[in-house]
Amino acid sequence: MLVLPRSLCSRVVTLCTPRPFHWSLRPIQTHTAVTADQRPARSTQVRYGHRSAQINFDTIGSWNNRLDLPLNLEYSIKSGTVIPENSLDNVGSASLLGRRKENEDRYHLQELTSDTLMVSIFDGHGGSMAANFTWQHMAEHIVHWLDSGITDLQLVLKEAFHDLNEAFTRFATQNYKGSEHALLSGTTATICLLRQNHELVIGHVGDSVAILCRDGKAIRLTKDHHLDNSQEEERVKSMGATVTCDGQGKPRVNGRLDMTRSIGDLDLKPYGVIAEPSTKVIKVRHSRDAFLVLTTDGVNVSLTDQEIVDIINGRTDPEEAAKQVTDQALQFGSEDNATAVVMPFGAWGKYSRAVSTIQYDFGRNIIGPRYS
Amino acid sequence: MSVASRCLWRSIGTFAKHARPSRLVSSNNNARNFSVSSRVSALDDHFFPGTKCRYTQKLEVLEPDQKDPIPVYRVMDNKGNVIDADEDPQFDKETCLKMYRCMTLLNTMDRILYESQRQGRISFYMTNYGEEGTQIGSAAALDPNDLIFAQYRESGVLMWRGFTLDNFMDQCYGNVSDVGKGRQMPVHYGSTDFHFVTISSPLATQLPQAAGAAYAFKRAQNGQVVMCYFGDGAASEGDFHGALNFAATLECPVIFFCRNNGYAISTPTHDQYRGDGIASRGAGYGIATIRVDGNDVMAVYNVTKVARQISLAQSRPVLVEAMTYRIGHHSTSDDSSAYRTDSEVSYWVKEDHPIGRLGFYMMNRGWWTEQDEKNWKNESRKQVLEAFSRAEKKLKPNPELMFTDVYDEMTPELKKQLSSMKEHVQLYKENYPLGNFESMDK
Ligand SMILES: Cc1ncc(C[n+]2csc(CCOP(=O)(O)OP(=O)(O)O)c2C)c(N)n1
Ligand SMILES: [Mg+2]
Repeated sequence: MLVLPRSLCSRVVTLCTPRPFHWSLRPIQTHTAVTADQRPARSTQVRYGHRSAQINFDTIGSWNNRLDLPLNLEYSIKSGTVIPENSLDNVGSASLLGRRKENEDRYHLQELTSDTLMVSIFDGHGGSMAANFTWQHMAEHIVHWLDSGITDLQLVLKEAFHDLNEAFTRFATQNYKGSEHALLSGTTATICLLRQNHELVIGHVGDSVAILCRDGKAIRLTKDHHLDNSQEEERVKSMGATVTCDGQGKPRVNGRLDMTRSIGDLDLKPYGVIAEPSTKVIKVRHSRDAFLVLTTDGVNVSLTDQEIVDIINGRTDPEEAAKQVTDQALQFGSEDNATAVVMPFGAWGKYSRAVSTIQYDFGRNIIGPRYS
Repeated sequence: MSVASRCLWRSIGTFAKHARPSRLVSSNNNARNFSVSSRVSALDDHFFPGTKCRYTQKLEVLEPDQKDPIPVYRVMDNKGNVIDADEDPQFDKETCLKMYRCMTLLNTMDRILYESQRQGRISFYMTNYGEEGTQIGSAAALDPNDLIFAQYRESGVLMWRGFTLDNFMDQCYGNVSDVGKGRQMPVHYGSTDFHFVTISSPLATQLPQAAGAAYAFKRAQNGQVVMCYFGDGAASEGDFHGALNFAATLECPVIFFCRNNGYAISTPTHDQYRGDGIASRGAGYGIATIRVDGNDVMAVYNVTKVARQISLAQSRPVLVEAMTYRIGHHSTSDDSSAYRTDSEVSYWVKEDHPIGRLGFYMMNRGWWTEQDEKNWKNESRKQVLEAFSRAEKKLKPNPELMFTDVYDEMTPELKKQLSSMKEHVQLYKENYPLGNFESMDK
């Protein structure tokens, strides 16, 4: 059997002749395979490779406000690359009320096991009952499934979401019998598990967002469970839901809920508003990934993903960055609760100089980052 | 006998003494292809000082491409099969394994240090990807006491000699164990123990220094040669010319070893020079020259062995041009995708990699298996990361050391600078990560 280096497996389509060994790894991404007799024709070359974006190559060496994270030798040896320590102490967070009476956003950080961290965000609706319940109990369900010996974290999240929703159903129906309040309360949940500081697994229901900053660019890791996602629309319709639009033209399931998956919303569970999360795995590259940010829709309604990433890149400290994101969201017209959780990775601070002036959408502007 | 003809006889005498010692020496050396008939007719001619030329009545323009390009010597094909059994250097299994382990360990170290620079742990790095065969093959053919002047992309040579992973990492971190006391950028290694002169990045300075050192060796008759590595780009510096000319005329025992890897940062060789590479220049300086496949570790070994013999036995310089390819970016400050295609690079990664070629050879001989490969991969990775972690934990040297070692005794100006530095740091100590440094004297 031919064993290929990981980087080649993911990039190169086929190898023309078997190479026995792993050592030929090169730091550049390869997109095309060449044939054996195809020698590089230099004189006619026109198409160059893909330039790494956003890195300031004139900057020799390190950068100013990097986090001095020590090496984690164990994880590094296991993964074969340089993996830093990470801890929840580095995570920054902020949550603002906005023009609401109550803040129904919640976030939760926890070290679940010695090698797995959890960062999560919840955006409640119809009262904070579901959000509170999920906020308080999600971690214990995940820990239960981690302890059961399942190593696939996506499966762990799927099981935990399912169990948590069952538990909430029992809780709501027993304690608040007949109360409409209990039936209408629901929440989004976006959970990120980080194992050995490089295996990042995301599971979510609803429209709370996870964004990764890689090479200075925003990469959205979640896909909102909204009715404008045609697959989701089909799914709830096939379960008998009706879709009608509210006064602002926003489609809602049975005229009530603007999302197609959630925890709680017990009245809509028969109509396909399920609690099964969409999941995703991504390998954190500490040389390119600066941070992970989780936000509730109170932030996303007024800031684009790239704006969020640029704002964070302009700050030196994750806590400060989270504050600025929520503050900026309200300043740009959000009326909802706005919450942001920022978890830094190895490239924290690396892209701060890459942003000079941030031209915000609709010509809005704010003071640029410190290192412009 | 006229003065002119005495000169001629003397030069023919020298020629005979320097009779070609090896099958490997290029046959393109005009000076040595002096045919009998032209010598006879030349006797009638008057000779200009320092030349051996004849008169002609035919106006001829010498075009640079009149001669075929100098061939590239190799032992193995791309799949590790020895083409001509007579050329096989007959390494025993141990030697072969040692070479392979060194080439692969170098590759692993490069990957970890490159990644660590991308994370900002060290300030700079340069990888050796693709040139492992050139480095290890040549290092193995030298005597351990031969003096080495290198450019900066020769870490494998130092590794072959015994520089440890800790030594490399300590230098890259510039910590207290770095013999350079943290005053140089990463990869500027140097070692007295291993006869490796400290890297200095202004290009080509090592060439005249090597010529000079070799001249000293010649006078000392110490039985050693000087090995001088340089790149295809460095060969465009004026120092290259000066060095080769001095070495040729003073007949110094030095090997000028060019790593022609296709690029000088972003400048491809077709923009770097016209003519047949660096090797074609040897004849112009009257220097014996060999061109070799730098991705064939055995060929590089054979060539360097012969070059060393010629250089030492006849006390004269030899030029070697190793044809290879720089697979990595120039350094961590470079992004090579701006000036070359992915497919160009992947050709060399997949079809002509020095590690792959030696690996094939060893597998063919039953000296190496998939399982060995897997075990060694884990083992080498562990060794590198452990050394890396040790180096990272060490303190940085006392900042006062910035001022020492240039002068035997510190000059008054330096003393003044030292004390103002200390005052400044004392005043603003909360703004400096002093905890990471060895403490300064009070
Ligand atoms: C005198 C001088 N000029 C320019 C430079 C900048 N420089 C550093 S490395 C380099 C390219 C050298 O290329 P080459 O000799 O082919 O070596 P390679 O990097 O390919 O191994 C240049 C131009 C320098 N260090 N010194
Ligand atoms: Mg070069």
